[in-house]
Amino acid sequence: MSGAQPPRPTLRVMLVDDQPLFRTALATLIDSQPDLSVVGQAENGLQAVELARELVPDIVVMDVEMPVMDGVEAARLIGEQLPAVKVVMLTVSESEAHLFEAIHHGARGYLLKDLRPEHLYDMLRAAGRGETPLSPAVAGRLVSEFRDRGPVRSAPVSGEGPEPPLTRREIEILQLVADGLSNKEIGGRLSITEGTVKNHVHNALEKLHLENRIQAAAYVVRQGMGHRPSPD
Amino acid sequence: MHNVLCLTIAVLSCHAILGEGIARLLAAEPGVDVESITCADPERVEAALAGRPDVVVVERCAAFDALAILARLPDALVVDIGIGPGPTWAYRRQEIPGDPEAILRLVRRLRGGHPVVIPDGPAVPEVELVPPRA
Repeated sequence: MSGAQPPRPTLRVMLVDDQPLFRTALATLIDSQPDLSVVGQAENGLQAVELARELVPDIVVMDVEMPVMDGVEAARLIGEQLPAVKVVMLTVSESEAHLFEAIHHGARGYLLKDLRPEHLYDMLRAAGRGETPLSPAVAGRLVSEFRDRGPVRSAPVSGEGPEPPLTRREIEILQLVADGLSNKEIGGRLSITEGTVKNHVHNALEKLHLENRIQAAAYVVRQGMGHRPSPD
Repeated sequence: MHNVLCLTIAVLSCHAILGEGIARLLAAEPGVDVESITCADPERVEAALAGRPDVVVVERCAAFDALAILARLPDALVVDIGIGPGPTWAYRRQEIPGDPEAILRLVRRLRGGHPVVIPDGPAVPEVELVPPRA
């Protein structure tokens, strides 16, 4: 095996939730990770916007339903004022309205509170790398929504010319993206490094003129390239 | 050297990030031994309760019933928490003599505006008395 890896830079995380017990529990977990640090906490959306301006964290982990100002509105304001700050929703709400609104208003990820702690850490690290962390149940709904809406803007449309030639590996990786897997999970599944997965995803997006993983997942489904769901 | 009593705590949750976060928080306290278990592992939940922990922190969810846990572990302090907004409850059984006089004494204490205090435990909140009917 190779020697020790260089330490990862610490991701500065801000937490926003109106339930102090949950917020404290979450902060305790996140602070237990050497590469993650909770730099501030807020109990509603308005406080979150003000504190984010002051602290400029890397990631804001925010509940959706809160008093004074909800998380969706706060995500919109933070996105407008601090575009480099990545807002990831963390909620019990599986409401499609909340999900679509949050993504539409600039949330970079949408996670459900039923995550295991180690998955949460991985998702936050993924957000730090610019990926879009989504709980699997949520990823499925987004894909369905895009599929139902029809062709994605900027995506190649049937009749406009031949589809770009994706390699077999790129197709394989896009199928796993559509299954809701992170780059790390895909790397583990295919026994390749996370960086290699990232490169394949990047190349596939370029070829397809797509902007992000969600559009890529929608493309896979629309083209009938997706894995069949398991019977259960 | 003197003996140190260790308090055993079981944290039962449906949301692991809530349960494990609270368990980690409590584990930082000296003299406590904390175990966190989620409802996804009913065998471990059963084993933890069979170990008769001193404190059970339990998340309000379909899998758990705080009062049923209290009935099963009458000596435990049961703390009923939620992942969303809402109250946190502490339940502890208090044994009183089984005669009518003891019940009357409690009623009179409440009528007099005195909280019923369990030694080292949570207080029964004061009761707002209903005005007598005309």
